[in-house]
Amino acid sequence: MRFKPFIAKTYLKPFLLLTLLSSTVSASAAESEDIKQLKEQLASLKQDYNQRLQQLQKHIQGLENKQKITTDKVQHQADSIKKTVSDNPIKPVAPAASNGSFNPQISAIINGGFNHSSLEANQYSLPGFSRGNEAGLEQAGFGIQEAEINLQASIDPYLYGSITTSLHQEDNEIEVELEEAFIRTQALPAGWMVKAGRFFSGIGYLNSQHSHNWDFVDAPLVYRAFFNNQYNDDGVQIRWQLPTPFYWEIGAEGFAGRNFPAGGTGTGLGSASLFSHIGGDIGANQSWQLGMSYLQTKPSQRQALLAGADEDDADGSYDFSGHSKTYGIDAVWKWAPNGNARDKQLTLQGEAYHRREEGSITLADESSSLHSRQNGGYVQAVYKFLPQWRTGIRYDRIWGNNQGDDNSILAQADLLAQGYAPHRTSFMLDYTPSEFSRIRLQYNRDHSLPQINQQLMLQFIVSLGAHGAHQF
Amino acid sequence: MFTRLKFFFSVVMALCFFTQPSFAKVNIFACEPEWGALAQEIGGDKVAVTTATTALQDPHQIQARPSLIAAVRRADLVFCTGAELEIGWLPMILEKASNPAVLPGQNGYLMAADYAKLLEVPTRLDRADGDVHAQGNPHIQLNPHHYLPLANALVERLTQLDNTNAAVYQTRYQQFVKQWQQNIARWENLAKPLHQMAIVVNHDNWSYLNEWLQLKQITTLEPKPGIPPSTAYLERILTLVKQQPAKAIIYASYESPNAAQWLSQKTAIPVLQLPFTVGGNAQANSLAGLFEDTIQQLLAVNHAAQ
Repeated sequence: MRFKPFIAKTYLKPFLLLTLLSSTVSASAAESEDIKQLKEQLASLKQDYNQRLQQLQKHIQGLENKQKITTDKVQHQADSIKKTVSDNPIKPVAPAASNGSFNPQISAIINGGFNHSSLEANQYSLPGFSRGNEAGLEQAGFGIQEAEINLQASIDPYLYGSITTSLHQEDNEIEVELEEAFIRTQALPAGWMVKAGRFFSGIGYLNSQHSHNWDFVDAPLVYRAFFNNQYNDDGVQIRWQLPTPFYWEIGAEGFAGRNFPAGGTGTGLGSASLFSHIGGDIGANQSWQLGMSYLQTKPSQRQALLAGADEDDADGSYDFSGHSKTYGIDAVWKWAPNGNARDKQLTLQGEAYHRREEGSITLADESSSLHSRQNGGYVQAVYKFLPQWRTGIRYDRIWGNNQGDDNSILAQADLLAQGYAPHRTSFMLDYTPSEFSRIRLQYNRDHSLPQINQQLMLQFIVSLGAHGAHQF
Repeated sequence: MFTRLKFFFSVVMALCFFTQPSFAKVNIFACEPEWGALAQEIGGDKVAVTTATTALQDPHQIQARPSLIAAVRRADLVFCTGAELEIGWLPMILEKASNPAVLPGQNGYLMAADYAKLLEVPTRLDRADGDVHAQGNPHIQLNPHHYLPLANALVERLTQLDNTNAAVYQTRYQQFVKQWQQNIARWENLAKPLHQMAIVVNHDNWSYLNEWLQLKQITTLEPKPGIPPSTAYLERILTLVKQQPAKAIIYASYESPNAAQWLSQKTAIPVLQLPFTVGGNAQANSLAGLFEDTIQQLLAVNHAAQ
């Protein structure tokens, strides 16, 4: 019962206030008409609803006061401006013409193009590493990598919500994926923020960014091997922005732990992370950010692809159960003459990860213990040499050492790399006609396997609708 | 483990206290130098102003840098242009800074464009027209008349945020208004010869100066807002300018001079790099300096052409 008047107050008042403001003086006759009507309604309700009457009376009082205040305020402002400039009246509170008024901001991303690979996608593997279902090559030929739709808006003064769904082709079928669906606080004091739902983990640098904002078509090998391209899951994130003179955020997350590198039923806490980023400027030309991350998961029957298998292949996977700990650092440095990134900019970026996994794998009803130490990282440089043109180079490398009590099972699972370290060098050139479109050409010399795989990718990324704001 | 945690927290707490020496001052985060300068004029030593961009940076294309997030985290007032000028970076900074006092609708969120009559409000919204701003042209800082209602709004906000110094703000505001009105009268008198002076501009960011001084803008070098000209497009501009001669080709301090210089070589029309905002050149080191230098530069070219 106490909930209803609360709603009426919080939603009706601002609405009426808006109406009042937008119609300023001319509408005041209509408004007093409204108040009169309300009063008449009150009279008829009087006999039956004594309690409600009091509330309404209070409400009307509030409205009358508000009206008086706003008219006074508008009059006062108008006067003060008249004194100074006659031709620049204060703008009336205009309905926002852009991005919808009460509708959420909507934007759609189309990310497609052409892929050529000298290695068949079904011959791909990463010797020595477990691969999640996404950790493979993109299908060859023309295709849409993803079509993504994002809706976001304030829910109320306290919460903000965002939903991102992505459609992509998976062997002649269109797959719908809920990439993100989360609420976050927007009114917590002292730099705190809580996010809940499904979202990309805040670990590392690239992980929390949507893939169409990356500088290369594909994820670094270390992301492919360690995070199944990008780690998202259902859970809660708490972030604290410290009041320091430089940038410093600390965050912690707890997830159900359904997705690689976690895995399982997700009924408890299957994955948890800690991360922190600091950053600042060096003079006017340079800015930087450094980060540290830790991700701990408790995979239970985590599926990994066998070499040559894809996710629809029932016999194409093996399971891992045990513990997984990942430690990471990330660094970004950007330079632009006078800090003006409009014409020229150089970005250097790198991330490195170390992972320890202990547990057992099961492949076709046979088991072996697994004791795994894995490392990986990438470094990249992207240079904007003209306002619309950028070029970049990236080097990837992952390496590790796996041991277990049954080497034949580890060998079948492609976990015995015998000292081989998958690596790759990528070159890209992209053209950005406007803030809403980009065309990219990328060439990979991919040594995921000892045999070279040459990849050529032409990608277009376009954004329809709301103008997005970009992360550093 | 526990002692380590304790140590960690005590370091954090120490940092929090250590890092707030400007506790008593109102922390103002100004997106552009002109608003930073205005905030300093009105606030004096009662405010600490951080300016997010310099005159050498394109305000459309600023990165949501960590340093800016840290500054907004500590800000009491975010003072920007609005009208979607900062749409590519300010929302991201506000999201990351987790500071509810400076979100839209709060006392700590002041957008200059809300206090000006915007020009060039598009009649149709279509990205085929380039990076259009739905609310109108946001580059309002080059009409000095805009500063008066804005200064009034700023005083109101400062009084709300820091009532103990209300009298100081009011006095400084009165002084500012008096001086500014005298300046405007002097500038308008000085700029009389500039009426109907024909100019070519690089980007459509001079509209408010044109409106104020009644300059006649022949064309822009950008085919559409935010889209650099191709050579074919510049050839067309060349033909146009030959038919309708201009006295100056104008570009802002953060823009590339290439297109303007190309046209200048072909037509012998002088190129003018105007300061555009406070700090745009050595003379434009204050709000008054910005207008003084802009008018003087235009007068010099206009005089030479006659």
